[in-house]
Amino acid sequence: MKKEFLSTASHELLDGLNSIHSSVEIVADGTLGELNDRQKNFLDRSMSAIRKLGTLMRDLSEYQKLEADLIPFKTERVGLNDLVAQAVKRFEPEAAAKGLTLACEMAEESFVNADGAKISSVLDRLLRNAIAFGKNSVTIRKIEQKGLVGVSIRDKGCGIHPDNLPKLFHPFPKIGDKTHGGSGLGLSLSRLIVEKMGGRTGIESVEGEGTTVYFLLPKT
Amino acid sequence: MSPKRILVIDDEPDVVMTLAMRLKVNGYEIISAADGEEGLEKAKSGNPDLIICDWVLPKLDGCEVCKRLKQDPAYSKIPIILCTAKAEEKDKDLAKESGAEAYVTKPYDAKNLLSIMRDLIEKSAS
Repeated sequence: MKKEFLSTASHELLDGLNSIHSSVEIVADGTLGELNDRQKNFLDRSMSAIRKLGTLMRDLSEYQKLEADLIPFKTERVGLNDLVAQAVKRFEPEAAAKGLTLACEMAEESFVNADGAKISSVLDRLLRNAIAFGKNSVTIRKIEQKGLVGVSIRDKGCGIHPDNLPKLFHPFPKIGDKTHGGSGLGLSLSRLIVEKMGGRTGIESVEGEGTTVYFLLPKT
Repeated sequence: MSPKRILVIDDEPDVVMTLAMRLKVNGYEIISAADGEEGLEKAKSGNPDLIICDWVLPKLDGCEVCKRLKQDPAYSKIPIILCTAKAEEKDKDLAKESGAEAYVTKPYDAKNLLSIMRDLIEKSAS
């Protein structure tokens, strides 16, 4: 009953937000007539807030469903290199727009027992963060540890204070920077997804040097 | 050449109105329906070149509308874009099973939607 209530409520909320999105967008993009710079600026701000709310609502819904085991996992033997290559391709334009290069160091193919689409969603979230906070380059590397294999993503951003590191895999960590537009659930969702597939996540950071986020999954 | 006719099936009047405006600006003619049953009826009587159908609809959901049209040889060739605020993989699988030619998530990315529409209309005409 509660599950159905939450699912219907989140769908209704998204429907409402979509109505606002489509109405603001059609004015903001000039379809209904030319705008002056001030009008355009305020509508662009509205669009950006609407997009952020949409991401938050979708992430909240996914988080709730994952916690309640309502999202099925299609576990099979999947190669990490392919998934990383596809993710890098998806994010190259975004990285280039920020003047960043994506360096991929995956070596030979490794296989894991996991849901490929779910791994892709984790890679997307981690890459999006690294690009948002990084400078110069982001390095994607294969890592191995005691029967586990995975991927680490290293950015050369400003790094994170050691006191804040344990908070990061929890929902809404509130460690300052709100400008990158994330929902505050990206890392906690990634942790939940990886743990549901029998793996684990981790983070290492040095202030002023950058941050490495990784996940490890059982090898086949 | 007469404008291509698009049937928009959606129960959110704001979405229908803004989508209709955008499509008109791009040279399309629009007809609309606010629930699945009306959508099915207009798909058969309105002679649309393409259908944009919401998933969650009163009376008959978008997947069912899609399945019924694809099972009927008289209408099975009309390309259908199934749209939804849902964005889970199982939904993408269900959308494929329903026979829809494309699946897009709301909010619409206007450029992407227009490009999918052009491709589908070209393919169905060839």
